[in-house]
Amino acid sequence: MQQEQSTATSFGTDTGFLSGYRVLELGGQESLFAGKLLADMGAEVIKVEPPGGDPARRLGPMAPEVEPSEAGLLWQAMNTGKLGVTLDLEQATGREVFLRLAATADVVIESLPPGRLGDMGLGYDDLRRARPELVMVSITPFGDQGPYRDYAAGDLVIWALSGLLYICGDSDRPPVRISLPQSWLHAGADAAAGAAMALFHRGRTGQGQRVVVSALKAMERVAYSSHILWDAKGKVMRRQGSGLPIQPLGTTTPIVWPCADGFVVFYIFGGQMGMLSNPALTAWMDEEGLAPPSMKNMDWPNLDLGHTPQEEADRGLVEPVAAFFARHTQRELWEQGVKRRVMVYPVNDAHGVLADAHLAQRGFWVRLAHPAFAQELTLPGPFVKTEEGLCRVGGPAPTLGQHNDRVFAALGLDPQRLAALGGEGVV
Amino acid sequence: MVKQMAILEGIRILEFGWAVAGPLTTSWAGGYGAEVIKVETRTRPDIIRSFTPFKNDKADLNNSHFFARENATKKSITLNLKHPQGREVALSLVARCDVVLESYTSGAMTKLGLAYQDLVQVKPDLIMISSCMYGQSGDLRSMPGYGMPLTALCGLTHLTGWPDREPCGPYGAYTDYLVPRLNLLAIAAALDHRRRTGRGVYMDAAQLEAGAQFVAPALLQAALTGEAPTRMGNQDPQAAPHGVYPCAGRDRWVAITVFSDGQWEGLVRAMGSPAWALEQELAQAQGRLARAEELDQRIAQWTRPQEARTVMELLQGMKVPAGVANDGRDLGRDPQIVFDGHYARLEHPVMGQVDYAGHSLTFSAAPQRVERSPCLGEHTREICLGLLGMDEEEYARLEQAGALE
Repeated sequence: MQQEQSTATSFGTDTGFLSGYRVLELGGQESLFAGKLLADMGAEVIKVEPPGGDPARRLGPMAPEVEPSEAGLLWQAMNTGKLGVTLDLEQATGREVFLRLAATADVVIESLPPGRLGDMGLGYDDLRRARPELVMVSITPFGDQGPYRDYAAGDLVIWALSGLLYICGDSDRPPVRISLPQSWLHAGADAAAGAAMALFHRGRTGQGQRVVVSALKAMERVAYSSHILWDAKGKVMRRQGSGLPIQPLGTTTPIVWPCADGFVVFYIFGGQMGMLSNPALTAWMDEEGLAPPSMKNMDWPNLDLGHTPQEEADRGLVEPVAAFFARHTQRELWEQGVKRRVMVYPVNDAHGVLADAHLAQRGFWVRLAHPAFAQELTLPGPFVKTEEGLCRVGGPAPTLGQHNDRVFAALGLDPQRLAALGGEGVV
Repeated sequence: MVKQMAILEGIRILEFGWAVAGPLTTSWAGGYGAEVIKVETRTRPDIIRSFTPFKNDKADLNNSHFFARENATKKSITLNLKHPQGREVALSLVARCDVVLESYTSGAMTKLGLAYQDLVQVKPDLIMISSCMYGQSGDLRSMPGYGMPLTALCGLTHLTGWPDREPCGPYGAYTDYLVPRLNLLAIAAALDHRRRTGRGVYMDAAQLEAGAQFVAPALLQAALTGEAPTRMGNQDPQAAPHGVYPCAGRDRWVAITVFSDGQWEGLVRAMGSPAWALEQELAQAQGRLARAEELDQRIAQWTRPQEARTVMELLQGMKVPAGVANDGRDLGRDPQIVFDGHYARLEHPVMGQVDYAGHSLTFSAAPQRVERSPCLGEHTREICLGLLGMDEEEYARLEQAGALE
């Protein structure tokens, strides 16, 4: 990790894709990623929190020895480049200030329960009166209409209803999700794309609009095989753990393999796809005297796993390959694999990702100094690179109420009024 | 009398796509009104055209449900880009497009003489995005790959499964379904940037770097504390109960998650307030987390004889997050998915009736529209004679020369 990417430390640079736009973000963990992505793209994103702080500040993992309101690492990862203000929307004066703020905004992204903002007098129609060209993006579990509209949800429940959960996991245990919430990231990325598309549309038509994101629909796209197998053949897809069965015989070969110090991913493709790796792997195994005749004499382009009996595949292919992988470390297999064009890849934990030489070469990582942390924070760099640096990760997540003075003063609230609002617990 | 303008109306996207991540990006853009032209070749058809499942098990390039699902709402032109005249046709298409997306291995477009610097000669304000595995620089840039290993490389496979077992990873090519969302954001932002500045842009979108965004908290944790998180089944470090519970029938499950004391009370009421659940210790998160395993067993006993949907509806009535683990059959009859019209049943000339899934956004200014996927080269003639203004003679000449294969 020698080459570090230089990061923007000041806000409001005019060099991003979406520079010049102001985005207000309102809601909990569901909307964090959307706001962060728009900030990466150069928009000025103001995260509006209740005076006690967004509860998402206290979601795990937590950093030890850091004050609790700043210690949440989901929070730190998903709020870079934002300004932060506190505002109590339960109070009438707080709502009044929000309306004034909305009048200066191009986009409001929110993830409150459907209808909640409207009940507070801050729905799309209310905000549109303050700002007719406003784009409002609502991130919801199930949309803002329909039978599930008011249903309670979290990441795992969305996984379940989307069909994705059912096809993930070992066949002898319950279906299983990724142990790091994902639904709001998929929905959040879609929300950011929706905001950018709506801004483009507004630029051409002068028309603002409302955009609703359904996390259910977003995640259904990830469960891609489930519905098509039913549609094509009337068959229910079942979870297979880390193996891949190929029809018609259903011959299953592993995707995840143990190696000397962890796991690697490798798949024994048949046909042309297998030509990319299988002969090179056989030659490599042969150098160590581990290539059996079943592999050395294989007619690889005509290998058809779906028509190979399981026992034959196990004895002739899976067992020798497993024995070979077991002798080598992740790193050996990955480095040699790259050299030899054998498609064997490490199952990285977070340390493995951080140590990835290719990402370091690309100057991917950013390091941010945050006042509450003794160490710098290491985070993923921009998701897209341009020569002009039109997408880049901004400064660290705002501390609680960090930009109240700056943002509210710009609204024309004088320091005395601001102090009074502080006294009333509004900001 | 205001004419409704589709969100991306008037925008033409040329796709040099492969497999899923690139083609799915443009398919979604098509749904929001862009005109998408997929450049393919018969000499080496997009690999996803040969992926199962096929309608009636008949392997055919125009019969893959997988291809259909990820390639709705676009046209297909066949061009042999290695043929000089095929490349010329591609360049005249570029001149008439706003956006080019390519998802070939790094370097492939350069070899074809279709790198960004070649394309801006014919379209100076072109927006181009290269969505390959590892990006356009670095040692790995030309290493082949696909979604499954990429999911492992960026740390997601390690985080999926049971703590006492090897990781199972999420299903299939997981990263292929997060990348298009970020690609679409990049394209939309670049279009607006071009609108405001008049400038095009070249974007290097590495799928590995997109994937890393989806594990950012784990990466930060490892860098900061030295501790890399690992898979924990369906548990949540801050919420209990939080799991997937067996229900009546073969392999039926319901997800139940309790994030607050109020939700716990709701669950207890739904279970009929059994004595074990009324213990004071369980009224708070800490007490529940300490006995998470026991709670899972108790709740499983309660759910096991019941229909998954009955449990879900009962719990939702108590404001407890709960959801059926929908299987492939359930999806098409899930009340919300049906209400949303998420699957459009469209007639395909080879496959017959096919369900096409929509995308997640509802714009109030213009509806999403999903059109059936194209057959290989279905629009070659239409595009040559229409958009490119060729006459019949020129078209026949190109066809004969093998440029349109």
